[in-house]
Amino acid sequence: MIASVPSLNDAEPVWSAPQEAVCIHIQRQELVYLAIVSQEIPPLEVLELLEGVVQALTEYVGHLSELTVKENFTTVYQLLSEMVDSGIVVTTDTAVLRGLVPVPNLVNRVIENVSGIGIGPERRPNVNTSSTPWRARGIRHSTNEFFVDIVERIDAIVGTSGSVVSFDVSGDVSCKSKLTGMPEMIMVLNRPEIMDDVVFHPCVRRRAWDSERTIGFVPPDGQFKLASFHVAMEASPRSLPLHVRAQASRSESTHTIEITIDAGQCNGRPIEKLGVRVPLPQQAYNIGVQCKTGTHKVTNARPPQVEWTAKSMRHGDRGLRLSIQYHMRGNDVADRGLRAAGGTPPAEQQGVAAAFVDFEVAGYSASSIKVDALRLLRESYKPYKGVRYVTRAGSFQVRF
Amino acid sequence: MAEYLSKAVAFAQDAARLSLRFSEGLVDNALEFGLDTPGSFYDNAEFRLWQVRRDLSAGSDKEKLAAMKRLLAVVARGLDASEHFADVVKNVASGSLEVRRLVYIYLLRYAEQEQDLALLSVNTFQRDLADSNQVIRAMALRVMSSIRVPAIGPIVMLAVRRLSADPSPHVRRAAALAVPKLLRLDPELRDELAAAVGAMLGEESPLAVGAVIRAFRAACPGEYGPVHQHFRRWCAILPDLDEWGQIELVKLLVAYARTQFVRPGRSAHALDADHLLLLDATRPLLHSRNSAVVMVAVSAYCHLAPPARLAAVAKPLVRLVRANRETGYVALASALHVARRQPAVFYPHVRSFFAAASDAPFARRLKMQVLAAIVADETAGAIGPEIATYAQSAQPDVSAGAVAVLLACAQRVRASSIDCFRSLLLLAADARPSVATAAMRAIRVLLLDGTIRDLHDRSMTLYDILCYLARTLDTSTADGARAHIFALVAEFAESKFGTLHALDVLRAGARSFGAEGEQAKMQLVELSARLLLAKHPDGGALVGEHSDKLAALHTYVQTLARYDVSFEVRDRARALRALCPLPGDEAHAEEMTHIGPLAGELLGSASSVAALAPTSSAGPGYTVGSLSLTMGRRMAGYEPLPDWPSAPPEPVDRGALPGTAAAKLASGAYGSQPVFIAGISGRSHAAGADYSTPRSIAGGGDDLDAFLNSEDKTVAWPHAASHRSLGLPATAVVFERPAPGLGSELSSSSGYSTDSEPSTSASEETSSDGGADSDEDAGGGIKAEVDGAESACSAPAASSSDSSDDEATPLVLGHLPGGSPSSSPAAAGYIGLGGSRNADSEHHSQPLIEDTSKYWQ
Repeated sequence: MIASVPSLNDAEPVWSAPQEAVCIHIQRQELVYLAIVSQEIPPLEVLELLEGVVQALTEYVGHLSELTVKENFTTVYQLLSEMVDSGIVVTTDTAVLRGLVPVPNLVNRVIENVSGIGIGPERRPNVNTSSTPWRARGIRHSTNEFFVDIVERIDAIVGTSGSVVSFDVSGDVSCKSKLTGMPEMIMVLNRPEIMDDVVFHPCVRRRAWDSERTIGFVPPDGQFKLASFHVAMEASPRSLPLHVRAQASRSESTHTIEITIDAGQCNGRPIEKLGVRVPLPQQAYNIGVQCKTGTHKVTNARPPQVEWTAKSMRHGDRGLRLSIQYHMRGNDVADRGLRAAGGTPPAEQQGVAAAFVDFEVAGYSASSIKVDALRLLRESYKPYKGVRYVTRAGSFQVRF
Repeated sequence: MAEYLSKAVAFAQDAARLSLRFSEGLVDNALEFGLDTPGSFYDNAEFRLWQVRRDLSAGSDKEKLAAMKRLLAVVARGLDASEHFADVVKNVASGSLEVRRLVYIYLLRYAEQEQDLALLSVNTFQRDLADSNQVIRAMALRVMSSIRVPAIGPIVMLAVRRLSADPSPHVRRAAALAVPKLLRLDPELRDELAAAVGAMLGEESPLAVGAVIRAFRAACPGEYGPVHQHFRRWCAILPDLDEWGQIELVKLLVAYARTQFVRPGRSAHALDADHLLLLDATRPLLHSRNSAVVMVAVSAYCHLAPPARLAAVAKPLVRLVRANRETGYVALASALHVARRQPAVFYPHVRSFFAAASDAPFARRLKMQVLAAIVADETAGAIGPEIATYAQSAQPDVSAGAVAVLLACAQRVRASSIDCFRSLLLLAADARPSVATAAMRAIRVLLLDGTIRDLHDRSMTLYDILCYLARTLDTSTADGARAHIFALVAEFAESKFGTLHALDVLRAGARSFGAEGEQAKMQLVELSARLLLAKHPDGGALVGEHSDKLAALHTYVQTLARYDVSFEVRDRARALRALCPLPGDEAHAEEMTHIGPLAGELLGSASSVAALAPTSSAGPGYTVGSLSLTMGRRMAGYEPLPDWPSAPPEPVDRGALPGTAAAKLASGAYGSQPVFIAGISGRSHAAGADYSTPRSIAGGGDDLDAFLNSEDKTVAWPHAASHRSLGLPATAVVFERPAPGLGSELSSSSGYSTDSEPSTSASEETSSDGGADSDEDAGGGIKAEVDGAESACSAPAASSSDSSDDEATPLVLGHLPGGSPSSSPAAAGYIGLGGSRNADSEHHSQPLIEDTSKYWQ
């Protein structure tokens, strides 16, 4: 049922199989998770279930690969039987599952495997049926901490001339909670009004958000995603952290792609982990890369691609320039023939005709959303609170 | 003291036993786990199966666990392990919960084969049903109800009834979940189950409501009476349910609402208060983190909300489209469904449907279909430049998708019709067959549905266009594109284009018949038949003096088609031969006197309809978010939503609304973005068309051979047919000027403009000399039964035109002179980015927490 497949990029996720069956599949890392459906069921329910299976397995097994799944196949079986009951999804919540199927504890497992006996009595399973199913009673931590991580993604398509075709800022508010008891948190943001389309964890009280624009919640224990948001277009920053332009040109037999990168303002923060990936056509060969800074790598797979990385860059630095030259195999002859026939030049760039840019700006929020206050109610201790901002490139592509 | 000693002895004995087991275990585990490579236990499970029986009967828990793992590994690998069923069943009451879980998995796998043995386990389950631990109770019921042995149906029924009143919601949920299973096992129990479910409907715990609803829908399908009294309470608790419960409840309530309320009118027709309550209760689900919940809420809005409130689904759908590729695919299918019915919903989100280079092919295809659905006056300004980019794309599917958008744009945005049409003409000359065919098809649609004909644009008359298209036959190599041209010529043979031109096209087509593709051959056969049947308004044959040549051509084409390799072509020829018989076919003369007058109309209507039928029809209205909608076909088990009642149903009591949940009227109004209309104006140009009628065909009327191979100059193709006179730009830019509404800020940096370079490429296409009159019989060696046309007729197609010195300019979008793209690229392309953004430093209050970036690794 589960097999390693290198790439399923072109297969539709909801795929019609023979005999009226439909295959619904997702690929996460090297594994493909496949559900076969023969009757009407909303495909998103199946996809959410598969996603839930991946999350639960990751929590129980750790890194998922063919090997780890084989090693823990009984855990996989037990989890699946708790998650789905004769075709009905029962739960995908890992907090609930943890109560039903014990998480294999690494220490226990080592002792068991070596000694052959389990130490300590088997824990009786239990589920939390309270009104806060995501948080059990009686959680204790020696140090009380609460961390907030605001990660923003910039999705952009930059046109040939450097103009921005589309541009989206979206973000996640992730938290890591280590708090004792049943605390209630209230988070106040500086500009909640620019959050255009907000999705909350079920623990957030939607009513408080609708009326006062504050986020009130009883946090689950451990790591969780409190909210994701999309920034309204009117509030989007007026400039990208990175100005990229790409130009493709062609002389007699050489194809050239020129990419220039200038750093934007970003509140004076450096742009880090800068990377550009340029997939080249199948028939490209003799690939040469020129750049003054950074390191580059040419992958000569089919299709070949050029990867270029640099450590960091600041606003005001000299713009970076990357130039890629390559030749095309066996195209010129056919080309001339077609030209003679009066046709347009043939499909030059089979595959992708864009460069993909990657970057990260730590301590910078593209939407300028900040956490103004984080209050703890109903518990007497004072926790340690921390917040961190980072802006990353999402799907940032430059056409040429 | 003695007591102390005996204790010590017992302790020593225990220690000895422990150490023995310890060392045994050590050896055993070293064998099993230590020395093998990871995962090999799973791969080699069947090698030590002989040991399983002993371990399961007499082993320790640890050994039993290993034995069960071994068995399950065998099962998982698809091998048969049913012979151990008896040994396994013995362990169903094992002290170790983990062993028990594995036993259950095995039991459910083989219970159907070993029914008698499976019954042995039932006692244990019944004991577990009274366990003090809620998880054990629920698990026992879950497993027991999953055993597919009809004999235990009544026992399970009893258990369901007892546990549906359990104090734990977890157990009550298991009881509800058992209902659909029990129903599948024994349909006879339906009435009993329906009664039990009816009692469960009052369920208060958010944990169990979803399962109860599921049970209700299984036991009482299509029954909505019991819903009345719970309706308001359910609306109120909807946000508190777990995600899977929300999905079930919304599905039920949507179906319920479709039977209980009246169809929401387009006008401000007052909705039932409960109808509004349901819409408002569903609204928060649009913001769920679970995409399936969002989709079911979107579906509820699509099928229940009045059109004015439908805008609420746009953002959630767009969010799902932006999510991962799998979710995006399903969301796009639903977005397309919505866009085809309510395009205005997506007007503010046009840019979210722009194809990105990282999109999978299926996502690109759907995105462009959405764009085609939502292109309108309001969105044309944004879509136009983007489509110009797609048209130049190196990926054929993108260019072909762009054609569909151009077609929709031409049809819907009248101001841009001409520009779109010009772009299509350029794309029709594309080297890639799929693109050329799609473009030619779009051209045909536009000409037939009157979009272009009605423009009265002096710059481009139908006559010019048809002449231009007929010319492209010299260069075009795509079968589909050629077929469309032949079809167009047939369709407009009676227009100003004239039968003489049509006749000449037929002549050229007949000459290259052997080299044509299947589609083109079929259209050629049809063309000849239609010309033959075409009647002049005054009654005579349309071709007039050339009717003898036409008849000869028709016979020739029919003969070639009759012996064609393609079944389709032979079939079409045969059908057409019945409509307009050859001189030799006298058998049906009598029938023909009746059919004859109608045949021409029959042919004409059939082919036009075929061309105009939309390739991407809206399709039957499947429920939004359903698998049937995604697959485009009705899946087994699909149940359409009930239709709205024609008359308002009797008012019923829908229970009380608990506590604070007051129905707020959420406004459905959507703050729409300012939109602008692209200022696209037709291109001015000169080149007056030459309307002179073509010269008469040279050559002897009786010599078809000579006629077929006669110079292409026989018909005077006017200069108007040349590239330039149609006002075709050298570049395929649809909207060559930034729209006036975009403002200076945009035009300085957008760069959506062309180099206004003079179109040197538009060569004066004088009559090109088609294929050399080679005498080689390349057409397949058919001995045509045409007098004097033995072999020369099937000369190769005239495809290699040498006169076309087009530069074939690569389609490039240039800069606008004076523009400095780096000045503010981010601002480009956005509408209404007015007002300065607050500086980051502007804080309302001092942050209470420190920035602890350094703390995090």
